[in-house]
Amino acid sequence: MITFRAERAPCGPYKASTFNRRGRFLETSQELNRFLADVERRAYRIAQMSLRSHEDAQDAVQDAMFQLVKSYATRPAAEWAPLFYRILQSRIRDCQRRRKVRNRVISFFGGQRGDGDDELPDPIASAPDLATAEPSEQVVQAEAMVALEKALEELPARQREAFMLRILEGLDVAQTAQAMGCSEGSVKTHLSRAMHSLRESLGEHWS
Amino acid sequence: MNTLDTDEKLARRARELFLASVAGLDAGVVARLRETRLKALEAAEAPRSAWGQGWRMPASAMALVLVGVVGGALWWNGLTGPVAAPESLNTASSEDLPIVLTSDSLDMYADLDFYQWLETQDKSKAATPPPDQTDDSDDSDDVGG
Repeated sequence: MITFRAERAPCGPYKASTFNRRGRFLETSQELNRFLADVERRAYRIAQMSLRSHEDAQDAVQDAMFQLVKSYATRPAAEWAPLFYRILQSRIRDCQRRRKVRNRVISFFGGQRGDGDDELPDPIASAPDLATAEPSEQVVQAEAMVALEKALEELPARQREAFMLRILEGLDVAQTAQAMGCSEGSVKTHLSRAMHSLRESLGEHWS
Repeated sequence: MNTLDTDEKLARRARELFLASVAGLDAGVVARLRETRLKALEAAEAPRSAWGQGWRMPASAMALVLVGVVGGALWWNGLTGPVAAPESLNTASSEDLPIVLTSDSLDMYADLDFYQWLETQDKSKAATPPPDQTDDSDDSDDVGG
């Protein structure tokens, strides 16, 4: 009588768990891809508005993407936005700090004016095309955007961060607090002061 | 219009402008952002497959073995006491170093045996009294005798 040995399952428990892990990772990878695809352009614009430099903004976004994927991919997807913006803001601050040091060194050795303005692009020339609007409306929007960027530049860093994350990016207060590394009360205070300053500086353009 | 209305209007207008500027980003910038994103995701996937599962365990095991070997060697060394360097090594180093460091001709070191012999000859000559002194002593012996 011929007996057949029961065939072993093609995958032992270890392999099955590997496949599960692999499957979960692929799923996470796809989710991350969707999240980053959604956020990358806004993040770039926020970085560009803060740093006034295309290359520095690209670098900051790139660092934030790599750091998020490397260190926080396993965290719940709901936490990605504040974590991503926290990394981004940290990179922006690092870049601004490096610039300050560089400008001090340059001014110490009697170089340029030392405020870095001569390196910045012309805000009107670098303002993005608002392609969907009519030409006259485009001009108005471009002017309003330049005025906004200029007003934001005048704000203290924390107020600017609060306004960008809360109003422009649309994070809620808790997410903004997480991204800025402060309490929700501080976010509200920073935002209130930012709004007050912007009301005053943008009044003529926006009323 | 009260402050809240003004703030709300300002916030709405700012967001609209911001989103319009995002929509109008240069195609090159958008492509570069996309490329960066894909690279970041690839970079996250590669270490997990290659290092995370294939190398993490063997690496820790190797580290453990290495610590064991070093610890064992130190313990054994402590039991047996410090090992003195062989004398041949010391003498070799003390003899070889001047040869390497001096700027003398290496030919001299090729004939080193000859020079050593010469030196022993000189020493033996110096130890032997001169012939006239010997004669004096002989004379005194004779006188005394």
